[in-house]
Amino acid sequence: MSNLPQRYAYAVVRNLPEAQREEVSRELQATIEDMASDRAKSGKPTEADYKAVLKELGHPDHLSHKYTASKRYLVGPRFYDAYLRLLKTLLSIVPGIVAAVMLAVGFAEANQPIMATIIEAIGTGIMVGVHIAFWVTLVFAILERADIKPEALEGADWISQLPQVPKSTKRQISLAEGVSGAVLIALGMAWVALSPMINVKDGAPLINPELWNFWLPVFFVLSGLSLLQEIAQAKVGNWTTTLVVTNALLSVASLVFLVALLSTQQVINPAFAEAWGWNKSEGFDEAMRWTGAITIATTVGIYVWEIVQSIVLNRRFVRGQGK
Amino acid sequence: MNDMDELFANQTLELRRGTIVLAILSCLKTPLYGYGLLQTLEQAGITVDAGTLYPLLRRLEKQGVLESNWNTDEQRPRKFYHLSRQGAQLYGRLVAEWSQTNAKLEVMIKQGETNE
Repeated sequence: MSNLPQRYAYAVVRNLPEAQREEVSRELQATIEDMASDRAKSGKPTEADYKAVLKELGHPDHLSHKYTASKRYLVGPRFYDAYLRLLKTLLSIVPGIVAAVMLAVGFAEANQPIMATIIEAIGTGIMVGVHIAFWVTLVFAILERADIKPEALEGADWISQLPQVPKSTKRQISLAEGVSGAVLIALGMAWVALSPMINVKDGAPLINPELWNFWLPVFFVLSGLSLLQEIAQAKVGNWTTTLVVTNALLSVASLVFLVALLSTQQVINPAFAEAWGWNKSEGFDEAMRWTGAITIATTVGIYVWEIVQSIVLNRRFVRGQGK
Repeated sequence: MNDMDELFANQTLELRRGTIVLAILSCLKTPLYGYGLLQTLEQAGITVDAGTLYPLLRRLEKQGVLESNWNTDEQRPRKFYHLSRQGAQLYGRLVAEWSQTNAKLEVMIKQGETNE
Protein backbone atom coordinates (compact mmCIF):
# COMPACT_ATOMS: atom_id res chain seq x y z
CA MET A 1 0.00 0.00 0.00
CA SER A 2 1.27 3.41 -0.88
CA ASN A 3 2.25 5.87 1.81
CA LEU A 4 1.43 8.82 -0.46
CA PRO A 5 -2.06 9.42 1.00
CA GLN A 6 -0.68 9.74 4.52
CA ARG A 7 2.16 11.95 3.40
CA TYR A 8 -0.11 14.20 1.38
CA ALA A 9 -2.64 14.46 4.20
CA TYR A 10 0.13 15.31 6.64
CA ALA A 11 1.46 18.03 4.30
CA VAL A 12 -2.01 19.58 4.21
CA VAL A 13 -2.97 19.39 7.86
CA ARG A 14 0.31 20.46 9.41
CA ASN A 15 -0.70 24.05 8.56
CA LEU A 16 -4.13 23.68 10.14
CA PRO A 17 -5.15 24.27 13.75
CA GLU A 18 -4.42 21.27 15.97
CA ALA A 19 -8.10 20.54 16.60
CA GLN A 20 -8.92 20.04 12.92
CA ARG A 21 -5.93 17.96 11.90
CA GLU A 22 -7.07 14.47 12.84
CA GLU A 23 -10.43 14.73 11.13
CA VAL A 24 -9.30 16.46 7.96
CA SER A 25 -6.45 14.02 7.63
CA ARG A 26 -8.73 10.98 7.94
CA GLU A 27 -11.20 12.35 5.44
CA LEU A 28 -8.49 13.27 2.94
CA GLN A 29 -6.86 9.87 3.14
CA ALA A 30 -10.17 8.10 2.61
CA THR A 31 -10.87 10.34 -0.37
CA ILE A 32 -7.51 9.71 -1.94
CA GLU A 33 -8.03 5.95 -1.52
CA ASP A 34 -11.50 6.24 -3.09
CA MET A 35 -10.27 8.27 -6.02
CA ALA A 36 -7.28 6.02 -6.61
CA SER A 37 -9.45 2.89 -6.48
CA ASP A 38 -11.76 4.47 -9.03
CA ARG A 39 -8.84 5.10 -11.31
CA ALA A 40 -7.60 1.57 -10.97
CA LYS A 41 -11.04 0.29 -12.11
CA SER A 42 -10.43 -3.24 -10.94
CA GLY A 43 -7.65 -4.38 -8.72
CA LYS A 44 -5.35 -2.45 -6.47
CA PRO A 45 -4.39 1.11 -7.32
CA THR A 46 -0.80 1.51 -8.40
CA GLU A 47 1.67 4.20 -7.33
CA ALA A 48 0.91 5.96 -10.62
CA ASP A 49 -2.80 6.08 -9.75
CA TYR A 50 -2.02 7.75 -6.45
CA LYS A 51 0.26 10.23 -8.12
CA ALA A 52 -2.44 11.15 -10.63
CA VAL A 53 -4.93 11.68 -7.80
CA LEU A 54 -2.56 13.92 -5.84
CA LYS A 55 -1.88 15.93 -8.97
CA GLU A 56 -5.61 16.47 -9.31
CA LEU A 57 -5.90 17.63 -5.72
CA GLY A 58 -3.09 20.13 -6.23
CA HIS A 59 -0.23 21.36 -4.07
CA PRO A 60 -0.92 20.63 -0.38
CA ASP A 61 -0.26 24.26 0.57
CA HIS A 62 -3.03 25.45 -1.74
CA LEU A 63 -5.45 22.96 -0.31
CA SER A 64 -4.60 23.86 3.25
CA HIS A 65 -5.10 27.56 2.42
CA LYS A 66 -8.62 26.69 1.38
CA TYR A 67 -9.22 24.98 4.71
CA THR A 68 -7.99 27.81 6.88
CA ALA A 69 -9.72 31.13 7.07
CA SER A 70 -6.59 32.75 8.48
CA LYS A 71 -5.07 35.72 6.67
CA ARG A 72 -2.17 34.88 4.43
CA TYR A 73 -1.30 38.49 3.70
CA LEU A 74 -0.01 41.46 5.67
CA VAL A 75 -2.42 44.14 4.54
CA GLY A 76 -5.64 43.14 2.82
CA PRO A 77 -7.74 45.00 0.26
CA ARG A 78 -9.85 46.74 2.92
CA PHE A 79 -6.91 48.72 4.26
CA TYR A 80 -4.66 48.70 1.22
CA ASP A 81 -5.64 52.12 -0.12
CA ALA A 82 -5.27 53.85 3.24
CA TYR A 83 -1.99 52.01 3.78
CA LEU A 84 -0.53 53.07 0.45
CA ARG A 85 -1.69 56.66 0.88
CA LEU A 86 -0.10 57.04 4.30
CA LEU A 87 3.10 55.32 3.19
CA LYS A 88 3.45 57.58 0.15
CA THR A 89 2.78 60.72 2.16
CA LEU A 90 5.30 59.87 4.87
CA LEU A 91 7.98 58.61 2.48
CA SER A 92 7.74 61.69 0.30
CA ILE A 93 8.21 64.06 3.23
CA VAL A 94 10.06 62.68 6.22
CA PRO A 95 13.31 61.19 4.80
CA GLY A 96 13.91 64.34 2.76
CA ILE A 97 13.46 66.61 5.77
CA VAL A 98 15.72 64.46 7.94
CA ALA A 99 18.44 64.38 5.27
CA ALA A 100 18.17 68.13 4.71
CA VAL A 101 18.44 68.87 8.43
CA MET A 102 21.46 66.59 8.69
CA LEU A 103 23.08 68.31 5.72
CA ALA A 104 22.51 71.73 7.24
CA VAL A 105 23.86 70.68 10.63
CA GLY A 106 26.83 68.91 9.03
CA PHE A 107 27.75 71.92 6.92
CA ALA A 108 27.45 74.21 9.89
CA GLU A 109 29.87 72.10 11.88
CA ALA A 110 33.35 73.29 11.19
CA ASN A 111 35.57 70.29 10.90
CA GLN A 112 33.29 67.80 9.25
CA PRO A 113 34.42 66.71 5.75
CA ILE A 114 31.73 67.57 3.19
CA MET A 115 31.58 64.17 1.52
CA ALA A 116 31.16 62.44 4.87
CA THR A 117 28.27 64.77 5.70
CA ILE A 118 26.55 64.12 2.38
CA ILE A 119 26.97 60.34 2.61
CA GLU A 120 25.78 60.35 6.20
CA ALA A 121 22.73 62.46 5.33
CA ILE A 122 21.75 60.21 2.42
CA GLY A 123 22.32 57.09 4.50
CA THR A 124 20.20 58.42 7.34
CA GLY A 125 17.46 59.44 4.89
CA ILE A 126 17.36 55.89 3.51
CA MET A 127 17.35 54.39 7.02
CA VAL A 128 14.46 56.64 8.03
CA GLY A 129 12.58 55.56 4.90
CA VAL A 130 13.11 51.88 5.73
CA HIS A 131 11.92 52.47 9.28
CA ILE A 132 8.80 54.28 8.09
CA ALA A 133 7.97 51.47 5.66
CA PHE A 134 8.46 48.86 8.35
CA TRP A 135 6.47 50.53 11.12
CA VAL A 136 3.59 51.63 8.91
CA THR A 137 3.33 48.11 7.50
CA LEU A 138 3.43 46.63 10.99
CA VAL A 139 0.69 48.95 12.26
CA PHE A 140 -1.55 48.12 9.31
CA ALA A 141 -0.85 44.39 9.63
CA ILE A 142 -2.04 44.64 13.24
CA LEU A 143 -5.09 46.71 12.25
CA GLU A 144 -5.91 44.08 9.64
CA ARG A 145 -5.97 41.42 12.36
CA ALA A 146 -7.49 43.48 15.15
CA ASP A 147 -10.99 43.10 13.76
CA ILE A 148 -11.25 46.82 13.16
CA LYS A 149 -13.72 47.88 10.53
CA PRO A 150 -12.30 50.18 7.86
CA GLU A 151 -15.15 52.58 8.69
CA ALA A 152 -13.44 53.21 12.02
CA LEU A 153 -10.45 54.64 10.14
CA GLU A 154 -12.41 56.35 7.43
CA GLY A 155 -14.80 58.08 9.80
CA ALA A 156 -18.58 57.88 9.53
CA ASP A 157 -18.84 61.42 8.22
CA TRP A 158 -16.73 60.94 5.12
CA ILE A 159 -19.15 62.83 2.88
CA SER A 160 -18.42 66.19 4.48
CA GLN A 161 -14.75 65.28 4.58
CA LEU A 162 -14.40 64.76 0.84
CA PRO A 163 -11.33 66.72 -0.26
CA GLN A 164 -11.71 69.98 -2.16
CA VAL A 165 -10.54 69.73 -5.74
CA PRO A 166 -7.22 71.60 -5.73
CA LYS A 167 -7.48 74.87 -7.64
CA SER A 168 -4.32 74.39 -9.62
CA THR A 169 -4.76 70.79 -10.68
CA LYS A 170 -2.71 71.56 -13.71
CA ARG A 171 0.37 72.58 -11.76
CA GLN A 172 3.43 70.81 -13.08
CA ILE A 173 5.89 72.12 -10.53
CA SER A 174 4.66 71.78 -7.00
CA LEU A 175 5.20 74.59 -4.54
CA ALA A 176 7.21 72.25 -2.32
CA GLU A 177 9.48 71.35 -5.23
CA GLY A 178 10.21 74.99 -6.05
CA VAL A 179 10.66 76.09 -2.43
CA SER A 180 12.92 73.17 -1.53
CA GLY A 181 15.04 73.90 -4.62
CA ALA A 182 15.35 77.55 -3.62
CA VAL A 183 16.16 76.67 -0.01
CA LEU A 184 18.89 74.24 -1.11
CA ILE A 185 20.51 76.88 -3.30
CA ALA A 186 20.27 79.46 -0.51
CA LEU A 187 21.86 77.00 1.91
CA GLY A 188 24.67 76.36 -0.57
CA MET A 189 25.29 80.08 -1.02
CA ALA A 190 25.21 80.66 2.73
CA TRP A 191 27.69 77.86 3.30
CA VAL A 192 30.16 79.20 0.73
CA ALA A 193 29.73 82.72 2.11
CA LEU A 194 30.25 81.64 5.71
CA SER A 195 32.98 79.15 4.87
CA PRO A 196 35.91 81.53 5.57
CA MET A 197 34.54 81.83 9.11
CA ILE A 198 33.42 78.28 9.86
CA ASN A 199 35.64 75.98 7.83
CA VAL A 200 39.05 77.01 9.05
CA LYS A 201 41.99 74.95 10.24
CA ASP A 202 45.00 76.68 11.75
CA GLY A 203 44.03 79.96 10.13
CA ALA A 204 43.63 78.39 6.69
CA PRO A 205 40.11 78.45 5.20
CA LEU A 206 38.75 75.38 3.36
CA ILE A 207 37.98 77.20 0.13
CA ASN A 208 40.96 78.52 -1.74
CA PRO A 209 41.05 82.29 -0.96
CA GLU A 210 42.35 83.06 -4.46
CA LEU A 211 38.94 82.13 -5.80
CA TRP A 212 37.37 85.21 -4.24
CA ASN A 213 38.91 87.42 -6.94
CA PHE A 214 36.84 86.05 -9.78
CA TRP A 215 35.39 82.56 -9.42
CA LEU A 216 33.32 82.92 -6.28
CA PRO A 217 31.65 86.18 -7.37
CA VAL A 218 30.60 84.38 -10.56
CA PHE A 219 29.37 81.50 -8.41
CA PHE A 220 27.20 83.90 -6.41
CA VAL A 221 25.81 85.54 -9.54
CA LEU A 222 24.92 82.15 -11.08
CA SER A 223 23.50 80.85 -7.82
CA GLY A 224 21.48 84.03 -7.33
CA LEU A 225 20.03 83.65 -10.83
CA SER A 226 19.27 79.97 -10.13
CA LEU A 227 17.55 81.00 -6.92
CA LEU A 228 15.38 83.47 -8.85
CA GLN A 229 14.70 80.75 -11.43
CA GLU A 230 13.49 78.35 -8.72
CA ILE A 231 11.29 81.03 -7.20
CA ALA A 232 9.83 81.87 -10.61
CA GLN A 233 9.15 78.18 -11.26
CA ALA A 234 7.44 77.78 -7.91
CA LYS A 235 5.35 80.88 -8.55
CA VAL A 236 4.30 80.09 -12.12
CA GLY A 237 3.90 76.37 -11.41
CA ASN A 238 4.14 75.35 -15.05
CA TRP A 239 6.92 74.83 -17.56
CA THR A 240 6.22 77.81 -19.78
CA THR A 241 8.48 78.21 -22.77
CA THR A 242 10.25 81.16 -21.13
CA LEU A 243 11.01 79.15 -18.02
CA VAL A 244 12.28 76.21 -20.08
CA VAL A 245 14.66 78.46 -22.01
CA THR A 246 15.97 80.36 -18.96
CA ASN A 247 16.38 77.09 -17.07
CA ALA A 248 18.33 75.52 -19.94
CA LEU A 249 20.55 78.62 -20.33
CA LEU A 250 21.26 78.74 -16.59
CA SER A 251 21.98 75.01 -16.49
CA VAL A 252 24.46 75.21 -19.36
CA ALA A 253 26.13 78.30 -17.87
CA SER A 254 26.40 76.61 -14.45
CA LEU A 255 27.81 73.50 -16.05
CA VAL A 256 30.43 75.41 -18.05
CA PHE A 257 31.35 77.26 -14.86
CA LEU A 258 31.62 74.06 -12.85
CA VAL A 259 33.75 72.25 -15.42
CA ALA A 260 36.04 75.26 -15.82
CA LEU A 261 36.33 75.71 -12.07
CA LEU A 262 37.09 72.10 -11.27
CA SER A 263 39.50 71.59 -14.17
CA THR A 264 41.52 74.80 -13.88
CA GLN A 265 41.41 75.78 -10.22
CA GLN A 266 42.29 74.25 -6.91
CA VAL A 267 39.05 74.61 -5.01
CA ILE A 268 40.37 73.18 -1.77
CA ASN A 269 42.87 75.52 -0.23
CA PRO A 270 46.32 73.80 -0.32
CA ALA A 271 47.12 75.39 3.04
CA PHE A 272 43.95 73.87 4.51
CA ALA A 273 44.82 70.44 3.16
CA GLU A 274 48.28 70.82 4.57
CA ALA A 275 46.95 71.78 7.98
CA TRP A 276 45.03 68.48 8.05
CA GLY A 277 47.95 66.61 6.61
CA TRP A 278 45.81 65.44 3.68
CA ASN A 279 48.34 66.20 0.99
CA LYS A 280 50.85 63.97 2.75
CA SER A 281 48.58 60.98 2.47
CA GLU A 282 48.94 59.01 -0.72
CA GLY A 283 46.26 59.32 -3.34
CA PHE A 284 45.04 62.74 -2.20
CA ASP A 285 45.33 64.24 -5.68
CA GLU A 286 43.77 61.14 -7.14
CA ALA A 287 40.85 61.40 -4.71
CA MET A 288 40.37 65.08 -5.53
CA ARG A 289 40.30 64.32 -9.26
CA TRP A 290 37.74 61.60 -8.71
CA THR A 291 35.59 63.80 -6.54
CA GLY A 292 35.65 66.46 -9.26
CA ALA A 293 34.77 63.95 -11.97
CA ILE A 294 31.89 62.47 -9.97
CA THR A 295 30.57 65.92 -9.16
CA ILE A 296 30.59 66.89 -12.83
CA ALA A 297 29.00 63.63 -13.94
CA THR A 298 26.24 63.87 -11.34
CA THR A 299 25.54 67.50 -12.17
CA VAL A 300 25.41 66.79 -15.90
CA GLY A 301 23.01 63.91 -15.23
CA ILE A 302 20.70 66.01 -13.08
CA TYR A 303 20.69 68.98 -15.45
CA VAL A 304 20.11 66.90 -18.57
CA TRP A 305 17.29 65.06 -16.82
CA GLU A 306 15.67 68.31 -15.74
CA ILE A 307 16.00 69.90 -19.17
CA VAL A 308 14.50 66.88 -20.94
CA GLN A 309 11.71 66.74 -18.39
CA SER A 310 11.01 70.46 -18.70
CA ILE A 311 10.76 70.18 -22.50
CA VAL A 312 8.35 67.23 -22.28
CA LEU A 313 6.20 69.02 -19.71
CA ASN A 314 6.37 72.23 -21.71
CA ARG A 315 4.91 70.44 -24.74
CA ARG A 316 2.10 69.08 -22.58
CA PHE A 317 1.51 72.52 -21.07
CA VAL A 318 1.44 74.30 -24.44
CA ARG A 319 -0.95 71.67 -25.80
CA GLY A 320 -3.17 72.17 -22.76
CA GLN A 321 -3.17 75.94 -23.33
CA GLY A 322 -4.14 75.51 -26.95
CA LYS A 323 -7.34 73.74 -26.04
CA MET B 1 -7.06 29.53 -26.01
CA ASN B 2 -7.98 32.83 -27.59
CA ASP B 3 -9.23 35.89 -25.74
CA MET B 4 -12.89 35.15 -26.30
CA ASP B 5 -12.60 31.65 -24.85
CA GLU B 6 -10.66 32.91 -21.87
CA LEU B 7 -13.21 35.63 -21.24
CA PHE B 8 -15.97 33.06 -21.46
CA ALA B 9 -14.16 30.69 -19.09
CA ASN B 10 -13.67 33.45 -16.51
CA GLN B 11 -17.25 34.64 -16.65
CA THR B 12 -18.55 31.09 -16.46
CA LEU B 13 -16.47 30.56 -13.36
CA GLU B 14 -18.00 33.67 -11.81
CA LEU B 15 -21.52 32.53 -12.70
CA ARG B 16 -20.98 29.08 -11.23
CA ARG B 17 -19.25 30.15 -8.07
CA GLY B 18 -22.40 30.95 -6.17
CA THR B 19 -24.33 27.98 -7.46
CA ILE B 20 -21.97 25.32 -6.11
CA VAL B 21 -23.36 25.62 -2.59
CA LEU B 22 -26.88 25.31 -3.92
CA ALA B 23 -25.91 22.20 -5.86
CA ILE B 24 -24.23 20.67 -2.80
CA LEU B 25 -27.18 21.37 -0.51
CA SER B 26 -29.60 19.89 -3.00
CA CYS B 27 -27.79 16.54 -2.76
CA LEU B 28 -27.53 16.32 1.01
CA LYS B 29 -31.06 15.66 2.20
CA THR B 30 -29.79 12.11 2.46
CA PRO B 31 -26.31 11.64 3.91
CA LEU B 32 -23.41 11.37 1.47
CA TYR B 33 -19.67 11.20 1.95
CA GLY B 34 -17.39 13.62 0.14
CA TYR B 35 -16.34 11.48 -2.76
CA GLY B 36 -19.87 10.12 -3.24
CA LEU B 37 -21.11 13.70 -3.40
CA LEU B 38 -18.43 14.57 -5.93
CA GLN B 39 -19.58 11.70 -8.15
CA THR B 40 -23.24 12.60 -7.77
CA LEU B 41 -22.48 16.15 -8.83
CA GLU B 42 -20.37 14.93 -11.72
CA GLN B 43 -23.19 12.71 -12.96
CA ALA B 44 -25.51 15.71 -12.85
CA GLY B 45 -23.03 17.55 -15.05
CA ILE B 46 -21.64 19.81 -12.34
CA THR B 47 -17.88 19.62 -12.08
CA VAL B 48 -16.30 20.62 -8.79
CA ASP B 49 -12.63 20.18 -7.85
CA ALA B 50 -12.07 17.83 -4.95
CA GLY B 51 -9.75 20.52 -3.64
CA THR B 52 -12.65 22.97 -3.58
CA LEU B 53 -15.35 20.63 -2.37
CA TYR B 54 -13.73 19.33 0.82
CA PRO B 55 -12.80 22.68 2.34
CA LEU B 56 -16.25 23.96 1.37
CA LEU B 57 -17.97 21.03 3.12
CA ARG B 58 -15.92 21.69 6.20
CA ARG B 59 -16.82 25.38 6.18
CA LEU B 60 -20.53 24.65 5.75
CA GLU B 61 -20.31 22.23 8.65
CA LYS B 62 -18.63 24.86 10.79
CA GLN B 63 -21.39 27.33 9.91
CA GLY B 64 -23.99 24.83 11.07
CA VAL B 65 -25.44 24.25 7.62
CA LEU B 66 -24.27 20.65 7.50
CA GLU B 67 -23.88 17.94 10.09
CA SER B 68 -21.64 14.93 9.81
CA ASN B 69 -21.18 11.40 11.09
CA TRP B 70 -18.33 9.02 10.68
CA ASN B 71 -19.40 5.69 9.28
CA THR B 72 -16.90 3.04 10.28
CA ASP B 73 -18.93 0.02 9.22
CA GLU B 74 -17.32 -0.24 5.82
CA GLN B 75 -13.70 -1.03 5.10
CA ARG B 76 -12.82 2.65 4.86
CA PRO B 77 -14.03 5.08 7.50
CA ARG B 78 -16.07 7.78 5.75
CA LYS B 79 -17.46 11.06 6.86
CA PHE B 80 -21.10 11.43 5.84
CA TYR B 81 -22.60 14.88 5.55
CA HIS B 82 -26.26 15.83 5.66
CA LEU B 83 -28.32 19.01 5.95
CA SER B 84 -28.93 20.29 9.46
CA ARG B 85 -32.32 21.76 10.29
CA GLN B 86 -30.87 25.20 9.77
CA GLY B 87 -29.30 23.98 6.52
CA ALA B 88 -32.65 22.76 5.25
CA GLN B 89 -34.13 26.19 5.95
CA LEU B 90 -31.26 27.91 4.23
CA TYR B 91 -31.62 25.61 1.25
CA GLY B 92 -35.33 26.44 0.93
CA ARG B 93 -34.63 30.15 0.94
CA LEU B 94 -31.76 29.84 -1.52
CA VAL B 95 -33.90 27.85 -3.92
CA ALA B 96 -36.59 30.54 -3.79
CA GLU B 97 -33.97 33.21 -4.36
CA TRP B 98 -32.52 31.28 -7.27
CA SER B 99 -35.93 30.88 -8.92
CA GLN B 100 -36.65 34.57 -8.55
CA THR B 101 -33.29 35.62 -9.95
CA ASN B 102 -33.72 33.17 -12.77
CA ALA B 103 -37.19 34.47 -13.58
CA LYS B 104 -36.00 38.10 -13.53
CA LEU B 105 -33.09 37.30 -15.78
CA GLU B 106 -35.35 35.44 -18.20
CA VAL B 107 -37.53 38.51 -18.47
CA MET B 108 -34.51 40.76 -19.02
CA ILE B 109 -33.02 38.47 -21.64
CA LYS B 110 -36.36 38.32 -23.48
CA GLN B 111 -36.67 42.10 -23.35
CA GLY B 112 -33.14 42.44 -24.65
CA GLU B 113 -33.97 40.21 -27.57
CA THR B 114 -37.12 42.12 -28.54
CA ASN B 115 -35.24 45.41 -28.32
CA GLU B 116 -32.64 44.30 -30.82
